[in-house]
Amino acid sequence: MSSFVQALRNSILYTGYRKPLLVVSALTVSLFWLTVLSVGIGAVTVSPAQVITILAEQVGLPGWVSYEPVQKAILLNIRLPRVVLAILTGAALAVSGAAMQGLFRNPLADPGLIGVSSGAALAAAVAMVAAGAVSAAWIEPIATFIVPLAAFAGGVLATMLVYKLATERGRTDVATMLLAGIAVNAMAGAVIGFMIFLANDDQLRDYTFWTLGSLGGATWGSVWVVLPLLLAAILFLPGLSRGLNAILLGEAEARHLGVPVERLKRLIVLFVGLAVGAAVSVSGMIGFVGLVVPHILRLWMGPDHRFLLPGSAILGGLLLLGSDLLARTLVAPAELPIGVITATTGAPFFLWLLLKNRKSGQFL
Amino acid sequence: MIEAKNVSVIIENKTIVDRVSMKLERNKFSVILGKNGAGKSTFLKALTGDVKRASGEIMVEERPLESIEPIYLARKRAVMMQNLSLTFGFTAEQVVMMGRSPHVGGFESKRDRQIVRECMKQAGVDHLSDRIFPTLSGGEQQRVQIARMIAQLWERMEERRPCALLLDEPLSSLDLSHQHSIMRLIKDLCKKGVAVLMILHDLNLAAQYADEVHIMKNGRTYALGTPNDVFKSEIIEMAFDCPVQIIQHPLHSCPLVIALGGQLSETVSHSSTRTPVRSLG
Repeated sequence: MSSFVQALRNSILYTGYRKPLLVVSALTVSLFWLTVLSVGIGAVTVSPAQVITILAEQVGLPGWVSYEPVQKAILLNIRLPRVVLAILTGAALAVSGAAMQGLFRNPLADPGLIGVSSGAALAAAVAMVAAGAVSAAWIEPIATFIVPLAAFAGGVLATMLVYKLATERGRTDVATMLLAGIAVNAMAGAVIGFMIFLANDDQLRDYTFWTLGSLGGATWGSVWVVLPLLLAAILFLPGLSRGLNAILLGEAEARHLGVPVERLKRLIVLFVGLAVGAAVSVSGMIGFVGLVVPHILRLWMGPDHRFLLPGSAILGGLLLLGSDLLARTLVAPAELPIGVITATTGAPFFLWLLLKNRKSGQFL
Repeated sequence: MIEAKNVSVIIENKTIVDRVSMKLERNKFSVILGKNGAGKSTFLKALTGDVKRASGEIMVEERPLESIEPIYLARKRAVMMQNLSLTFGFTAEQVVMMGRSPHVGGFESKRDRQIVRECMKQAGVDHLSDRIFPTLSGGEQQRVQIARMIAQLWERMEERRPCALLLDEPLSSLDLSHQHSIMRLIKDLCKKGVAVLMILHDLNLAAQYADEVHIMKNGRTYALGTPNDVFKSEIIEMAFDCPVQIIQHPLHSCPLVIALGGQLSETVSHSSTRTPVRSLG
């Protein structure tokens, strides 16, 4: 935060920071208003003024409009955890994607490359089929936790496996990590296929919806569980921006600029593995955000990670929040899978940006 | 400033660098010459710590290379490698600004930007500031990189404290006039107290600007000395397997190498495999 104040001060003197700061500020304001709007929209409507009043009173400030108790209950207990989870999940996925693209020096990288998503999917599939096979009474109370827990463990284990495969005597080879990730993804795909073969129709449907993602299960309980892991990535990864900038020149070049490259790789894999594992465990597989959000921002404000990472966090939160709003309102009272929305709204927008920038050749 | 003692590098059971010693000193412009595959780049990478060496020592200011934190090393030693592949769309100015990385946390100050502008001016790339680096020509990219090197060592040079600049073929894509302007620039840095080591292919550039020439062959030191000591036709012919004639430069007091083309005779090139180590001067 203090570095942002510093940048703000510098930007008065220096035009190079102006555009990225403008983009980040605009995104922050948009995120605030979309949050206020989003928590108010649903079966019970809460106006933005009421939303701000209720939230202000929660922190001991005076409100200025009246509201029904039911509005407060719905806002605080149902909508708010979901909105918070949407923002944090989107932010963590997008920051992770931006960090991965920098680490691999490849704009096609996404968090899934290090095996975390497929590991989580595999574990989730196994958990769904296995939980269905066990009809014992003891499984009932923990049934709702089994899939998230398994997904998190699977994601983290797969990430560790990929990292270990690519690391020899303290040096991690990024190209090996990429290939190991592909291999682990393929193996996970095979086991998932086998689980699908074993699954009955209900389990198959559960799994399919899980892979499309949903924030429908959000409660304060689940928010508190994943919050530290998601926040860790959102807050710590931007601190590695300078190193990531240097690594874009090449690993040796980054070392010559004084960047502790191996430590940087370890930290990025650690934060991304934990955050994406946590995100997947509560919201299922949400693709697209991690890949495309950093791209959109690079087209807007260049590749400097010091702006790209915080910007990705905010735009990722914004995109997922907006998508979730559509997912739960378009076909209310039913819900669309969120992955359907992120892709159908984000992809055309991304294509439009690509075509607009095609002439200048500034894809990265 | 930086000293290599009997450095050997073995890669896949092949000795690429064989007991090479070299001393980089302040105000000294050292150049490494040699055929393709002579081990020049690998030696430089061993010197920077990027390649693991099988034996030998590297000392930076009397301390072992490995004992120095990367960030401290970066403040007094800049390295320009061959073939930088940056695909992300940083501007030329942002690339030069990265040279300020070891000196700044967070965001650069106005002073950093002034330094960067001055460095870009010196390397003749100030007009490229806002251009996207990957869209620049190879020669322009190399000059931007040179500017980045100067930006990295700026304080050290200003304070006249020891620092080193290591460059692996920094002129390979430059035109004739830029080759000389960059060589003059680096010679000036050298006079300001920088220890310079450069890998080159152009013998005459080395003859004209270098204080010390180190010719490598088959991973070993083949000759080491001042240009006048080393630029003897028998040494150059053996080191490069190419017949040459060496005359005095008509304007400068340095040798001028004229390649005669063609191959050395069988017997001559066979005898060269003995690779005698010569230490001259």
